[in-house]
Amino acid sequence: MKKLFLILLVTSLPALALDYNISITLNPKEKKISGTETITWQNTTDTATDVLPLHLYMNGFSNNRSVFAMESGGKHRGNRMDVKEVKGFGYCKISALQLNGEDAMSAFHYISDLPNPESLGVFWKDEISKRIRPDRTIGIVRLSKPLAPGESITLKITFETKFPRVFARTGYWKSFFMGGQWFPKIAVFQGEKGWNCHLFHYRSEFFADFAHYTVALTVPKNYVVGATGYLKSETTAENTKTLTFAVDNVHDFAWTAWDHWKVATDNWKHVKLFLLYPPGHEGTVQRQMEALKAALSGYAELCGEDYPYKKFTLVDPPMQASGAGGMEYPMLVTGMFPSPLTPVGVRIPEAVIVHEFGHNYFYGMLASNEFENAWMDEGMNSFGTAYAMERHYKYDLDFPFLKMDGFDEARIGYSSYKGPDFPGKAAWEFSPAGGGYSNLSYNKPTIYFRTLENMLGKEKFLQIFHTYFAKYKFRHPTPEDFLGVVKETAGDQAEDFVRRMLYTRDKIDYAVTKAVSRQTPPFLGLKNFKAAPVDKKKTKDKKNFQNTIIVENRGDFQYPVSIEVRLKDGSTKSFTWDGKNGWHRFEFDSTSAMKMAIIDPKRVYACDVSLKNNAITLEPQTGSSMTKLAIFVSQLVQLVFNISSLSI
Amino acid sequence: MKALKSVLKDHRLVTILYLQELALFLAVFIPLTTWFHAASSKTYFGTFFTVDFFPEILAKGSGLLAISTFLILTFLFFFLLRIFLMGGIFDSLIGKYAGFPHFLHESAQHFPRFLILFLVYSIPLLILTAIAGKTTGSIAQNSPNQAMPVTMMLVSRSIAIILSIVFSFWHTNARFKTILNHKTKFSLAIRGKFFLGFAAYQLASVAFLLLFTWLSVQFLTNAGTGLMVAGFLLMQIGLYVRNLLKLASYKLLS
Ligand SMILES: [Zn+2]
Repeated sequence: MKKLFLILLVTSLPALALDYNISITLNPKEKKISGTETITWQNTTDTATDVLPLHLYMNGFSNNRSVFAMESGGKHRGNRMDVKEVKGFGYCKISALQLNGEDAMSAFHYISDLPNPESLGVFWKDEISKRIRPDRTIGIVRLSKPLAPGESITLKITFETKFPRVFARTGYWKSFFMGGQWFPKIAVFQGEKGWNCHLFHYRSEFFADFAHYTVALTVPKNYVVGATGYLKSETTAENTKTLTFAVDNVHDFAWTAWDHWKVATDNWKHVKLFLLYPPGHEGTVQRQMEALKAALSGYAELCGEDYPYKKFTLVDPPMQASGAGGMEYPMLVTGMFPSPLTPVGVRIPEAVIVHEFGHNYFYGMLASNEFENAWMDEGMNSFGTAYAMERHYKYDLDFPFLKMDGFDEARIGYSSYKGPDFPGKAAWEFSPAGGGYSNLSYNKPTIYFRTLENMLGKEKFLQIFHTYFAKYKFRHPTPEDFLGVVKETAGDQAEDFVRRMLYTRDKIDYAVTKAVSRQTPPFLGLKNFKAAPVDKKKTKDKKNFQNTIIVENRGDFQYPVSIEVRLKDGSTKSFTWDGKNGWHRFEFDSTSAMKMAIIDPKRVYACDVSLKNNAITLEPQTGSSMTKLAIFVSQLVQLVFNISSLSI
Repeated sequence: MKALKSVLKDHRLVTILYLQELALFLAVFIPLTTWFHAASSKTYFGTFFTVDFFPEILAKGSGLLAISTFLILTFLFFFLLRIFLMGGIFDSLIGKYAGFPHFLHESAQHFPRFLILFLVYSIPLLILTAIAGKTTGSIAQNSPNQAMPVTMMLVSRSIAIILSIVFSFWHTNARFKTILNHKTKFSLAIRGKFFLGFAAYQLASVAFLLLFTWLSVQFLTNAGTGLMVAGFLLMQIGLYVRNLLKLASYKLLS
């Protein structure tokens, strides 16, 4: 059944208008690859074009003045660019180019060599300041005559790529190579809207069309290779071997080669799983495979369909090349296992594996524009990560005294953000200060989607993702496409919620601002205009309490919310409030004193920015936990003092 | 064993050292627990102690900065106090404990010299430990085997322990010589038999401390509220015995 489905899937896709045929040889000593690439591209739009822009991402690492280097300051997720030696830099150089078999090298220019690159209209006008030069991450081929709708063109490129010392996804460490964004890649043509081609920015990732890839990699004989696609053939020469991989319907191709790789294999349904890990990580193989399978099942449930390819490769890079870790490519991703001693309760390596695999859905198959809408890959996928992790493991951090799931993590990150941005921006438009990009692209969508799930119920919520995936897989969905699905599936309020999450700073913050419980005082004064009798023994009615609760809506959404009251005798009382008019007072009598009052007790509004104010506790329950924590910290100080005064 | 028995007999010295550790505990514990309770027991966290407690209470505003400044200052003060007390301790180890006023007097008298000795011995120790750390780190960095960092970490920690015992031996000898001569004196001699006994006591003291710390952590993090006091007591017993063994190692050289 599944096989039949896969066949249907492949045959129902439009014939691919893009084909890459690449043949390269790795020179491990020089940290280079060189070879040829034949790109066949068909103009499937109804607009003619007279330029062909090529991404040459590797040139972002060619000096400390590129857009990538300037925006990042030479740092990426804590790893530093190696600027001390020329060896540390990288590049992608085109040395020959033919168009339909004729030499056209003179028609090729790196974008920063052109006098007025903005006039080409391939990237956004405000994307760079003039001071950033030279940036050669885009190459332009000018056609002698426009390529009309329906016409095809063949580019034959001879190129050389020198890998940088790995710090941002791709590069080398000693004899280890991670090949990401290593070849000239054609940009996405959007017809009337022109070319969608951006410079290589620090924050942004990538965007490309689905294609057929055939890649022949020649490496030294003792190297082990992992790659996107299926191994079609392997031939050996004296000291080298050539591995040819091919695959349909992917929009990027990555590979890794190292003479120290160890390989583990496993299966999940129709998928053959490969894990490439470094020596010393034997003890982590089981954890990594379990995480990968948790991801495959989790995303199949979230998106409604199994991962359709028949092969998946997980790469666990050595720590010295940690910059290569935590990155997604079609059919191949890199994880990160910081140490073989990482405790079982610290599921950070698992979360990274689940996340990177998840990108094969949110990026791999739902190929949104990562430059312009990071939330569509990172945000939806971070939700997917937390969803799949919770489904299989429950917690990311799992100790008897400390538990935290992916949603807690996302809420804490998002709540810490106080800046002016919102998720619906291009990657380089976020203010560099205040963690806006990561908190808004990853954390905010995660916790808002969780809130949406709670509001709609799991079934309706999953229906959104199932519909979105079914409708837009192997396409380039836009934010409006997703919002359309939300509206169609879950209605106007759900769509409004997601839209405001994306384009405003609107937040949810419910609070209990007052909770008092007092014994009913005896009746004093006049009753029917006559002095009432006073019972002198019984000054207060010990059995009756008057309770007052005031709740506030400090957020921007006016959604109904429930309030729960716990009494000392163990009973509870519930109220609901429509969340309107700013605040509301509840009053009631009871025979037992109030112990606590809590708003949104089920945590429906998971994105509530402050939990502290969600309840007022009249009878504290957690004193000993706080005391324990204080003892723990104080003893830690004692220990550190003792160890550091070892020789005194 | 003679050294241990002798220290046990004059247990007041151990008690003084332990009381300093307890004072450090209280100096951190009292403000911390007061703050936790005052800031959160009336809120959501008074009923549910969740992970949000950390960002919402601990890291609010300048919370973290205030805690770290406070901890660093407290630490520095207790460090100097430890060097100060060692004057009285070493004086008593040569002769015998002759009352607290005398103890304080001796402490004050030897403090400047002891401070110099501490700096003279601890700076090269720090430098050598750092070199060992760097060397083992670079071996780990260059190996494709990911188990190498773990091996190298063990190697580097072992080197650090051996180095600190050697330096502590010299430091201790120098302190005795300084007291006897009423003048700052240094020592770089290793007398085989004494050194082995000294090292044995030192290692035992550290092992004891680590074992009891581990036990205490097990109680504090796994067992329920009822055993909280047991967790606290275990750590304190560990510290007391650790100081006892440490003083025995010093006594051996007096
Ligand atoms: Zn991601």
